Amino acid sequence: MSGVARGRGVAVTGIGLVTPAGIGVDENWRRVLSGVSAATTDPELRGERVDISCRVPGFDATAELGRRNAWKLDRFAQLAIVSARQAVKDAGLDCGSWDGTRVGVVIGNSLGGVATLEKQLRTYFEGTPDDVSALMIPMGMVNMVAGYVAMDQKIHGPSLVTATACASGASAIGTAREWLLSGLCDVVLAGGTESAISPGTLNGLSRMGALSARTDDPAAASRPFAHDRDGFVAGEGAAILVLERCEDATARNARRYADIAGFSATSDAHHATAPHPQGAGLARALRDALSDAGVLPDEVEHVNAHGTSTPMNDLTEARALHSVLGDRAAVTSTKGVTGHTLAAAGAVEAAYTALALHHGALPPTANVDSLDPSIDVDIDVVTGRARQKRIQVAASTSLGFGGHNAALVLTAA
Amino acid sequence: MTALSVEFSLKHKVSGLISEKFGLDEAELLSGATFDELDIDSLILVELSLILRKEMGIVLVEGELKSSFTLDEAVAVISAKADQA
Repeated sequence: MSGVARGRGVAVTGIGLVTPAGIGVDENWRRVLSGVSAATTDPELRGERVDISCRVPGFDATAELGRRNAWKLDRFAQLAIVSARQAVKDAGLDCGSWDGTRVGVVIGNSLGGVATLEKQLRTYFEGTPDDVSALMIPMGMVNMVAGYVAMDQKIHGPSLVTATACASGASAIGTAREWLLSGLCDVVLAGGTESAISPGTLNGLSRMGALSARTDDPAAASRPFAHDRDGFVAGEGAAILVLERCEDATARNARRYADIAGFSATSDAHHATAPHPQGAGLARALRDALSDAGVLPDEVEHVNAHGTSTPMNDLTEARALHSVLGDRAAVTSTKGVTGHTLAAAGAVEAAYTALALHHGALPPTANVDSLDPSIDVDIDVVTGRARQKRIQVAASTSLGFGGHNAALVLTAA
Repeated sequence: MTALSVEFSLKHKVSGLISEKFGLDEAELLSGATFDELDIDSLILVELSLILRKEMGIVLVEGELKSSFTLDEAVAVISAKADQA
């Protein structure tokens, strides 16, 4: 993939965010710029080996969706539906008046309604087959979130869930861009969602050594690129972007936060869960995404990195970023604030990258008291306070278990 | 209690359960609309059977409650089962 000229971008015209950093764009942006972590001790994890998480504060599904709808949906779908409603409203669109056959929805997810599944399996094993809910499967399946958003927004074009683990949200946005550029759709709701903070899942992640054990100091636990990082904090959330072809956005005088100018995805084919030690797959994804966008590496001024706060990810990602971009781009990981929202992360961070381009501010990486000296390359990590800086080109990188890598390049509108 | 008042009481118990568990307005349920018209589909009726068994000890066979039923028709089926119990 090379030599693609600029102009293959699609516009971000609406953003919906329901994350540990808040509900709605404004709350999210304020919190992310503040650099204050959202991680707290989680009462629902009391007694578990890891009892901290980043939940969406104050999310009331019944108030948002009505009890009649809310009880039938697992939280991963609730978060996405609310986020999609925000995004469509933010874009100045209305599902009551659009041609739904020209609208698509693609949402990244990995663990579906795992909390519902855990609960129902417990019911089955402790009770009888007749105790299992008829809604277990529709609440649990990963694809259902695209179906539910389609129902809620009267979308009759393609609907799809991408599952590339923690790169799922970025995969969804890349897919949406292709749907728009190929002419398959005129509007696509693209993003990611995850709500998997259940005891079973967290113990699984903890047994892998993926989670921070800093349970006595939750607010300091997510510390991407810091010398004493020890794992991520599990988060939940959803982000949905409204994407349109640039000319369509311009024609209807829509506000454009930024453009998704390039995308690429690669596979490490190396190990089930460990990234390639030099980040070779991620570097190639980033290079290809820049080429797709028609952007030179030294034009990139900001990267919203995957930066999970695990010892291995941040080291290999730093190497990959440096190998492609050198030391010029200001690198941040907003996971210091939000924790790791897993399949939603790529979309949440694409949204933050679009907001950085729109507002001319680069969020800091929370909790980086001192950079890890074992990171053997120079990268410019944004620490402390947010940087006020107008930028033209930024990237967002994502990696997932399974060796999935994805890179998005965003440009100022 | 007379048979009629037993059925009346059962009707309110069932409509109260549906309202509480599924977030439906009781007035809508009592309006004579069918479950279909109230967006109560076959999956929700399976859920209702589960709740009736757990909370009232009434065991219904799968498919005995139909989405074409009104609340009154459903209560007639439930009442017959309650008599057998």
